[in-house]
Amino acid sequence: MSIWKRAIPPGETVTIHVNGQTVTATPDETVATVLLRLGTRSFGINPASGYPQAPACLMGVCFGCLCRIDGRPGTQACLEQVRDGMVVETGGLRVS
Amino acid sequence: MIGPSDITVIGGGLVGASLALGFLRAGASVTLVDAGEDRFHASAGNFGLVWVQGKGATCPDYADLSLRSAKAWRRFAEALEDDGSTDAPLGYRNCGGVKIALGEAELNTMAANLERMHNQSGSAGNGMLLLDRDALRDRIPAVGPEAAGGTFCPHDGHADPLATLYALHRALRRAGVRVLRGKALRASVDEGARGFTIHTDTDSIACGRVVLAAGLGNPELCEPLGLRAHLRPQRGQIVVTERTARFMDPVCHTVRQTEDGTVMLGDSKEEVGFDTSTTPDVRRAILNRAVRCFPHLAKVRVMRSWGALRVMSPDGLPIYQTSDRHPGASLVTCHSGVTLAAAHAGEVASAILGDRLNDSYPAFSPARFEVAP
Amino acid sequence: MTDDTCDVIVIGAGPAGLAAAQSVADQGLSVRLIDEQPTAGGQIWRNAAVVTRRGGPLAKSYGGAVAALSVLRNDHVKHATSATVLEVALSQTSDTARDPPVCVTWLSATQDARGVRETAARALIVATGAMERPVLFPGATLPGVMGIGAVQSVLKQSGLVPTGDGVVLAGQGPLLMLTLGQILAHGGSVAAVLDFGQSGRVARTTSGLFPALLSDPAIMAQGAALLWRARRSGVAWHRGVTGLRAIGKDGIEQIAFETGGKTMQLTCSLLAVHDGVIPNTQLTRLLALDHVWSNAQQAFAARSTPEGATSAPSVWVAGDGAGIAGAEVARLRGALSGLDVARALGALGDPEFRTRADPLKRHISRRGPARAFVDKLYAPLPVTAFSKDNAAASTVVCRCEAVTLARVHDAIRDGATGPNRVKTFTRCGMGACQGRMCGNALTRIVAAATRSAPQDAGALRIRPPLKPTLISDYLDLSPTHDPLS
Repeated sequence: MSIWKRAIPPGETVTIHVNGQTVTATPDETVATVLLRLGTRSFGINPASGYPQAPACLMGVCFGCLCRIDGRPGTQACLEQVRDGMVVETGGLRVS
Repeated sequence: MIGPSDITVIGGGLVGASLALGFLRAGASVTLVDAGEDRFHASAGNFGLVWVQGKGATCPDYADLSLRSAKAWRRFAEALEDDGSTDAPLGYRNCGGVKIALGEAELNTMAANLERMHNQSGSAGNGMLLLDRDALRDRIPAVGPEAAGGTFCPHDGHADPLATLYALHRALRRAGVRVLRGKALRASVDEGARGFTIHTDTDSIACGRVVLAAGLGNPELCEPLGLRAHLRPQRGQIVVTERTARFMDPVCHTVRQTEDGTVMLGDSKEEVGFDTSTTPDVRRAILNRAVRCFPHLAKVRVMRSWGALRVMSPDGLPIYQTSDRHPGASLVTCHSGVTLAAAHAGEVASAILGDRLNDSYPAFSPARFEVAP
Repeated sequence: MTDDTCDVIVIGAGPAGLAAAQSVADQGLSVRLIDEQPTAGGQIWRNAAVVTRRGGPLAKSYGGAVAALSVLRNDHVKHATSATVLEVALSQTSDTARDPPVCVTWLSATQDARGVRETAARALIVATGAMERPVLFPGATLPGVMGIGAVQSVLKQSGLVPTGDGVVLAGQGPLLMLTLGQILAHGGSVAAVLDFGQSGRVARTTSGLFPALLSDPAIMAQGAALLWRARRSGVAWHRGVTGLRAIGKDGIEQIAFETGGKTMQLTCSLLAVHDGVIPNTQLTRLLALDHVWSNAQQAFAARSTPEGATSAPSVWVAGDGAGIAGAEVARLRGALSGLDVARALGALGDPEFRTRADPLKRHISRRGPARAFVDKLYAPLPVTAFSKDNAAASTVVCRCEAVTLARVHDAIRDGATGPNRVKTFTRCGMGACQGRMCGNALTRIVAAATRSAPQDAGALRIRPPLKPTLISDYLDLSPTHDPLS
């Protein structure tokens, strides 16, 4: 259950894939805001602490939102506007 | 003016702090002069190898010292870890070291060098092996197709230089070593030549003995003490990546995976004076070679890169000298502060206290740079 | 290997960067505008094109955005979005036209044009804006704890608001009240506000109130309206709060805090905190420019002239990145720095420069008293004000490397005399964010512990790349020769 809800009705939508699930999003969402809207708490495990991490700034400075996006690990989800067909895997700063 | 101590060590890097620990353990009262946030602080910028292979290809004494220090490293690390000086381990691993040859030409050069070294006395004991293509893959399965083989030395290893530096400083503080924060500006010989006075930008201190271990800061302190430090900076650029799954156990001389999982990549040798900046072309060359060695690194992120200055003598060997004119003054400098840390805290500190530094290490005397008239 | 040259590179497309690009382009000079956000506007005008087209309560805070964004259609301006600056090389030159002294290496991360580029220019204007000051307290790294500005960014970017009975705002400052109002206006909910502002401060600052009112009546009226609406919102308002803790396992579940001598505990699903904004100095630090500590704002900014010229001959700074002064002053300073660059490059004569620059300078200085009043009214809290004295072991300074305040204090006791030795000893500032989130606090902690001035304590050195970069992206630009051989 997410605490985030749309205050403004979505216009056009695109489809992206988050951890294998197909999700509808609007083009002015970023990957980070989509994940928040879906109720994602942990965006990944902090490699130093071993604890879950999540975004704190939503503007590109905190690096708490790192995800694998279209195959690129360690991508800042708050700076990535969604595109149709985008593939997102949460998991933070890790290489697998 | 601060009260006198037996020995003042100038330089709070790995060399100075290791020596200070050695003096302390021998019962001396020690003052350490530490410039703190020094921009040219080699101990904060180095790669972290405890490296034996190839050291002293032309100088058996250096090969032997490196080997003795590498063998003493585990005791050195454990002693620091056991006395509670650090809650972060020093990350020392005697995992063996590999030099990877990319292509047959590099492998042939390595084979020839190894043969030459084996023919010299002194380096035969370091156990170096030539690895062919398959033997390399047995030791490091992650290497890429261009890796044609390499050399292996079982005494090589690595440690976290920053954790080591911190542990040394913690050990010194807990043992009550007086640390003078400031930059040493001048060391002078007292009237009657019974001792020395060290002047820093904030204070001054009297001492019976002084040991210069200030890296590239040594040359400007030497003259009044009758010491000579022929040193120049040599820049090495280093790139460090994010943490990644462990993919290598032996350490390579240009690729080192730390205990944390980050990967350090090096290392250039550039004669650019005191310029610590990084350059895109060198960084790309470092990354290019790293990916040729380990193709999976292409999908790993670079976190940071920096330029560090090696403390280089003309022949690359250490300079150990006790002054003839003022026998209480000595100089210790090298560009392998990590490898030699165990020796500096042990045999070298003992040699200085026993007044036999010059006799014990004739090969490292600066006399070798003086041109005969 | 430079694949792109222009007269001026502007980094950052917020009010300052847009205005700088405009005034440079107005003089016929070519501009490369590089911005890491997906759309121009900066933080204040985030997602500007969509928000202004849609209208509504949010659009009210986007005054000036439409005009400012028109520069993107200027023929002299090439705009790169989703573009991350990796590093900047500066060189000395006597002829900037023949031998451009600035080379910016940047990563274009747009879908159709990914790759590392190099752009050379005769001058650089850094307009990288502000970021929220990270606030330290136990549990601050738990998922569900974020900045109040971050909550506002989610609303601006994607039209989302937080709901439910577990939303708590904590801290102080105009942005707290503005965001509270915006959340409520969009149908979201806020259960409580934890006000860390110090009671009695208003009384102490009224000395500057009248000059402030005269200097910028609009801002002052806006502030008063925010205060009035916030207090009437019906949200539970806790004053004189200290000892904040966020509690939870995989995310925030509860918060505990002290107020009026007793400890309170609340269920919490989102804790948004704020203690003002600070200049984002990552790039100016990378360039090793001289920086000056502001006691009023408790932060460093690059030392600059009123026109934005810095200690490096080819580099100017503009906007909040050069010291916090708000969006309108950022716009004015951006325009002014653009004129100064045009003058330095010989595209604008001195008399013409003065004719254009003097009114901008007058506008900027007129707003000074209002800024001084706000700085005083919401003076940054001490770095440990949010947590309790004994919470050092559970308070994280460096999120990326999980370095606690206790470990930082240990390192200082063990001889770390500045932020960079603390970094060496503890890894504080070595993680993915490169010290963005801990740098300001670290300077303040070291200064307090060593009883030195923050100016002397210094700041973390910043190393390239400015953001973690895939090796595969770097290798797109293959070396022309092998400097290792």
